[in-house]
Amino acid sequence: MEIKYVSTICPYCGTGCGVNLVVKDGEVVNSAALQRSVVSRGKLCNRGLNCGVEQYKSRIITPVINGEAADYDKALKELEGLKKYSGNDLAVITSTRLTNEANYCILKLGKEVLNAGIVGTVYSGSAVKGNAKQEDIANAGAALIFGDCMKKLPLTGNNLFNVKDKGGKILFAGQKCYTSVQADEAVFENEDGVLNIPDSFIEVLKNAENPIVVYSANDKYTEDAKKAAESVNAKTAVLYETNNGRGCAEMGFSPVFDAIKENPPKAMLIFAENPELDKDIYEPLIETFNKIEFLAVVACNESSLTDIANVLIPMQLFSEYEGTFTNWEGRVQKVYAAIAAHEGIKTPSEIVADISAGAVKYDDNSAIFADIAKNVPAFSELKYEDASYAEGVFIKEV
Amino acid sequence: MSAKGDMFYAWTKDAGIKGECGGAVISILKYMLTEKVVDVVLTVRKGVDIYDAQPAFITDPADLDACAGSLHCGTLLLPKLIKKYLDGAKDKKVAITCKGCDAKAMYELGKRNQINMDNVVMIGVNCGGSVSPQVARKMIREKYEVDPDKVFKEEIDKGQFIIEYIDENGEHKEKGIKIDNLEAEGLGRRPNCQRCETKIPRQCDLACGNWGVIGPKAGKATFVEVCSDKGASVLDGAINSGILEVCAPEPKGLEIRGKVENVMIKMGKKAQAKQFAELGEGTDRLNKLMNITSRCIKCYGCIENCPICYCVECSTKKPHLVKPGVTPPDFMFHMIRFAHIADSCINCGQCQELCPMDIPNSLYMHAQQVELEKMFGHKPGYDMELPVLAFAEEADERARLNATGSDMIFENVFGHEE
Repeated sequence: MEIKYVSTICPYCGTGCGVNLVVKDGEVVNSAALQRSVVSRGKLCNRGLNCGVEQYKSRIITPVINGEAADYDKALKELEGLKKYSGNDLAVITSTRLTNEANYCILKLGKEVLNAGIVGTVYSGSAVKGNAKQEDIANAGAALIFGDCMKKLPLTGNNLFNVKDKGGKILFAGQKCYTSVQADEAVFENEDGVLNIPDSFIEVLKNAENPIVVYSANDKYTEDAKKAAESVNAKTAVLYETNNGRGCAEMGFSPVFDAIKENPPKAMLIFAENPELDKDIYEPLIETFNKIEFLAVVACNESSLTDIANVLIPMQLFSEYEGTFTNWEGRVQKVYAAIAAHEGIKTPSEIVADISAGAVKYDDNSAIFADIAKNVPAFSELKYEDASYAEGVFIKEV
Repeated sequence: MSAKGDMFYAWTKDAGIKGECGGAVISILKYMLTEKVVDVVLTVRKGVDIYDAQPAFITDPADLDACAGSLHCGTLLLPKLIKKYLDGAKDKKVAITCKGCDAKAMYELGKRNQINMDNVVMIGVNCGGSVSPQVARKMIREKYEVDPDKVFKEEIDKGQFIIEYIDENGEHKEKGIKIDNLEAEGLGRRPNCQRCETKIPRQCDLACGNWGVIGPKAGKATFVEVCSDKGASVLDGAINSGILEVCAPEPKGLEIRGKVENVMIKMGKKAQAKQFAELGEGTDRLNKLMNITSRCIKCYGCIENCPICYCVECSTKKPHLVKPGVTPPDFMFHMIRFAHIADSCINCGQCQELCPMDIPNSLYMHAQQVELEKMFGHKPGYDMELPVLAFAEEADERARLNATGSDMIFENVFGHEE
């Protein structure tokens, strides 16, 4: 009998809470708090508390070609079909829940090897960036929050109670929700779904020390939030709902949901998100996917997407390989392998190396990270080893 | 041959064990694992640094060496892990190191048939309280003006939290600040540790610590009090195996140990009075409680980690009591917890420490426990007596209640008044 705790980062929201995966005889059986985490101070929400077991449902372990089980090499050969397409006929889509290293390899594969016209994420990640950190929220004299941020990112949201405890005001704009209940004052959307931020809110922010505006990247309130923040010169905490949304945003990924829906490409290669994490983000696009000539999917768990793929290649889960995630603050933290992957199942970057026939191939994560540091301004001067520090390391504000 | 009530100075004979004060605890654990007295040791080991205490399940005696030394930033509670991952010690023999709260949690889980106490050896360690890792780092940075990463040892001694560190010139330095001063500013030990009265966990089979070790053995031996027959046989076994040596304690040392314990218990009582007073009384207290619990996101972290909560069918998940899918949940969610378990709260602090919304659950729960103890005389964590509301077999009890045909819980439990 062997039971061990492996410290890593929660795979859900963009807060980047520390979590221990409880591994019994080579299997993840539970998750537990990581008291050492500077981000979460040993606290977890219901998702973190369940991240140990939820991930392992409906895993994919065999490659599939047009509904038939196949071996890896055959599936890889089949992917050569992607070469027939390029430019706007080809889209390479990634998941903002994969590591920085995996995403960087996928970016290079899409842009430099496959010459895909569309390289992006389904819905998360965006060019919107904030300039605040967790402590800026905790130290704010007043906060204006758009949407249910405290519920979506609980261990970020709890910093807002500090504002309240010090006598500062929490202002809310959006729809009725957990955060609106916590707020001192709230305004709601009108019947047309329009938000009108009252002047009194702006006054509160103006008169407060270190005011802050908190909102989600890619939310419908983004423009309202930006405007409010600019009008009082407040810091902005732009929250990502996925664990590596910020990392993907820094690398230049942006959501392509609308673009794909409007003009479906002829072929697609998708490194899929694990639907057990949240929801099946591919479901709203199924009709579009059905129109595509060639759909290649790399995934760890079954989803509506994997059901219709022409070629399906299994990949490892976040708990099976090392790498780094960048939380919404820009804190790069290391994730560790807790268990061994099923035999023959590779990491996303190894699969990229195979698809690109060695064109995008690195010795290890450290080498990938060095390349990220060279080419992605926010990561410049950072080293892979820096992220091993128990409290991670911040990227640069660029 | 030792017997219950005996006290010793004990130290290791194993050159590989670098225990803090004589290494008796690790030696005893090593003896039990080597001689197969137990199958597994559940203890705490240092993770990435001194602020990172991690549970360790050890089956190879050699791995125990790395578990030596105390971690005052370790705020873990271990007993529920026996229930979760070792099947309640049903068919495995387990040795566990226990602070006061661990020891009390063991008793509460044991009396509810969640842990098979016959298969467990409890090695108690004195505890003056623990500091949450991030609070420790903050106070070391701000109050000690020392880089927390440069600290390699911390200690709670003579009313001070003392750190040892390497300064910018590479020199070994020591700095202490009075705990009272730190705690007045919301730093220092966890609030539940401040309120704690269980400093020497005599509920265990052996109670070990460094209080009262004076004279030539100071710093080189562990004070061991034998608290049960099981403890006596384990201690004798360790001595006979040659890993441990003991001698009689200095009489003056006994006195000092008693004094340290008494001072700490008094501090605990004082902290209770202060913290409970701040909650107000009557409706005022209720309003405060309703207000603060409205931060709840219903993650079930408090229930998951509470050593008293073990029900398979949790009332907080009954839709007629707590509306599903609503956050914050109805106040009933918290009422159920208070009503069901407050009488047995052992003040381990986990429900507060782990609450993502920083609700001071443990403070309210402990405040109630103290009142309930006055009313019903049940002192949780000290003996195997069941409180009024604890039913050892949930399924049987639910069946019995259902068979009465009445939903009046009070009547069902206490019977009709004639």
